[in-house]
Amino acid sequence: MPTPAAKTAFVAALILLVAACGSTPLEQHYYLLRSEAYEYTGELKPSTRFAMGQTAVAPYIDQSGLILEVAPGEIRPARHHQWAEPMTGALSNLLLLEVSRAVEANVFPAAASEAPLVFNVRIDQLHGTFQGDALLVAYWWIRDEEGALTTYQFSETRPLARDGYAALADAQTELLLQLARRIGESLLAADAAG
Amino acid sequence: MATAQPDLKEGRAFNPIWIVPLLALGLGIYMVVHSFLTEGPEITIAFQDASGLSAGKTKVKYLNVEVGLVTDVKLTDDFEGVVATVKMDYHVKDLLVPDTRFWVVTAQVGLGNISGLDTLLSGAYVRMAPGAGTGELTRSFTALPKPPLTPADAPGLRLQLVGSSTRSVSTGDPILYKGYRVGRIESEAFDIDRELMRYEIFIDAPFDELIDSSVRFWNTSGISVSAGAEGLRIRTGSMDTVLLGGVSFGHPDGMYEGSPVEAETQFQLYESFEAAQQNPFVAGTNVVVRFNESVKGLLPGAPVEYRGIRMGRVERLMIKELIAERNRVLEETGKVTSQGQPVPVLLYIEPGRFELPDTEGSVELMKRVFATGVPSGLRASIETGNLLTGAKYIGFDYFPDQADGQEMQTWQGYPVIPASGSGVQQIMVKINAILDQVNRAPIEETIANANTAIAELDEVLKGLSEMLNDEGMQSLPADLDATLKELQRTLDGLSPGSELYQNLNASMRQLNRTLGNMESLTRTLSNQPNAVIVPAKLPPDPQPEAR
Repeated sequence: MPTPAAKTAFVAALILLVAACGSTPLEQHYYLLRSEAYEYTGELKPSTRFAMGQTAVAPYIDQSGLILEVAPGEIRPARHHQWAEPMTGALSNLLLLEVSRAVEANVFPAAASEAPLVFNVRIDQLHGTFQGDALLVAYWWIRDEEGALTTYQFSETRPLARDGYAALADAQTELLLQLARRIGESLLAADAAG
Repeated sequence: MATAQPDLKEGRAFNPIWIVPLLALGLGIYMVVHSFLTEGPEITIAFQDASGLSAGKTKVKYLNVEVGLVTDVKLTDDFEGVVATVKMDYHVKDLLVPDTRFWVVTAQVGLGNISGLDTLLSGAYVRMAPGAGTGELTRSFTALPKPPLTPADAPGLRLQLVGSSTRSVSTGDPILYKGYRVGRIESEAFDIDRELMRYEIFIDAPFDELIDSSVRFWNTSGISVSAGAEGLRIRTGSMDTVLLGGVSFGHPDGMYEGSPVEAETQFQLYESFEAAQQNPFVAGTNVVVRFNESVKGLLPGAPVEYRGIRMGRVERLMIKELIAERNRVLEETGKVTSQGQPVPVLLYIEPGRFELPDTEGSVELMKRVFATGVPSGLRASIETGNLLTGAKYIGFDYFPDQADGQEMQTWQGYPVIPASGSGVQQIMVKINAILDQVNRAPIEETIANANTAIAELDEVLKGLSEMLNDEGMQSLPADLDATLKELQRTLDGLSPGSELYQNLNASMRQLNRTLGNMESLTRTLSNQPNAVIVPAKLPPDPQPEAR
């Protein structure tokens, strides 16, 4: 039989545990990496000239938390402000849709297309800076029918419209939309040159 | 009248008047004795003719000092020459040794030199060259027909050259080493017996140290023009050797340094540098090969090779010796063999071509090699060197199947290397052997076996045909096609657009997310181990701030 002292200690521990579980956690925020949807219903118009190859991202970007640079060279992934879906897939989808919008035709992945001009993208930096900007550094290259490569670089910043992670997510999305437009322009130029 | 008497007085014993004749007598005796004691010797010198010689006028000089005077010139008893009597000075009597030489110096103008111009004014004179040796006073000498080119006691090396041609080489021509004059040709003579030119040459010291048994001399006179695979090659010496002639010497390419040579050693004079390069060896030996086949195309000078390595040359066909042998046999036995004698070919083997020293010791070594090689199968054969010209050469090789252990024979004093058939002949022998085997083979039995085998093969083919015509076998291609199509469908199910692939992709993404959460959990537990029980107290995120 447990002694009265042991019983008292057990009840105290149980109360402490319940009290701990009862503390209120910080609220989690999830952000969707999407452009503004535009209304269209009907048959898509596949591009016969362009296709999307691989989209690679730097390892530090490929995580759920939004990244903030707290000091030069020091980043911190947010624990309570996270992307709603894995970054690689989200980035690939966003670029696919926005490049399609730029070239005015639906671009498909190269595995499902026989288009002659294939572009590949690498996102090298995507985070908020301690100076209050969002930063995007990316490279893309276009391979033509004869296997020749043309490479491009995108390196831009965009100031946050307001404080907070929501503004950071918005600014990063805007930068990615700029990148998609540049890719589209380069694809059209390459097609015209070819 | 008284007779006058002479007043005789006692005279003096010696009248001074006699002093004069006595002095004259003493002076005469002194002069006779002095003249006898200081009179130079009187010698005779035999000349081919009396050109430049005049009694009482022609002087004898040594180092341009008058040491004698020709006192008489007269014909010899056989009227073949002249003998000059010369009164020599007393103080040069010790120089009149047996090898002292005399010759007449006159003005000479030639292509190579101009000398003795001073004699145009002073007249010819006889020059003396004292001998190097010592000996008794000699009173009879024979003058040189031409001035000697080298003093008797000059340091250097005197050699002999033997050549088959006199082209552009004559007495006085220079001996050159790498174009530098190091000696001269002193004399030349034609050897009637051997039909060769013999030259006496002298190499001045210290260049005589360049001479050893391996050096070769060649004629550098004129201009040598040769055309070969590498183009036109023109070889000349210096201008004076082009015009006047000369002899060069050196070591041929690849020749080992030889041993020192003694004076009067004989060397061969080659026609050209190329000739010296091609046949630079002097040590060699003759061997004979007696062929029982045609020697057509086998010419003197043809190569003799051992497995492709040049080792000598064909010297000649010994037809003369062959006929002499035949006649000898005919005389001894009264008949000759009806099968014909083998054709003897004389070869000259040069050990130097085998990179052996060009010495007689190497020759002896080669002889021993032949003597031990013949019993082991060493044979010579006629081979075709050039299919277009038909030129032949002789090849030496070992044929183990012909090693009969018999000792090497000799013929006409020469060692005999047994002949083997030529390459073509050996092929013919092998073909004949094959034909013999074919003839000996049991052809009929073989044909019967072959017929049996063909019949069995026919049975096998029939069975195979029946198997192929079977219905099951006929449907095999269709079944195989259906199987392949099924396989294709299966593979299509795994393609990127297939449902299985999509499910697999989704599962992989889920797994990635789970792993991500695991990583986050691990990090949390690492920071707060009791987070399993007590909720982790995560600090708030740093807030992005707008500018």
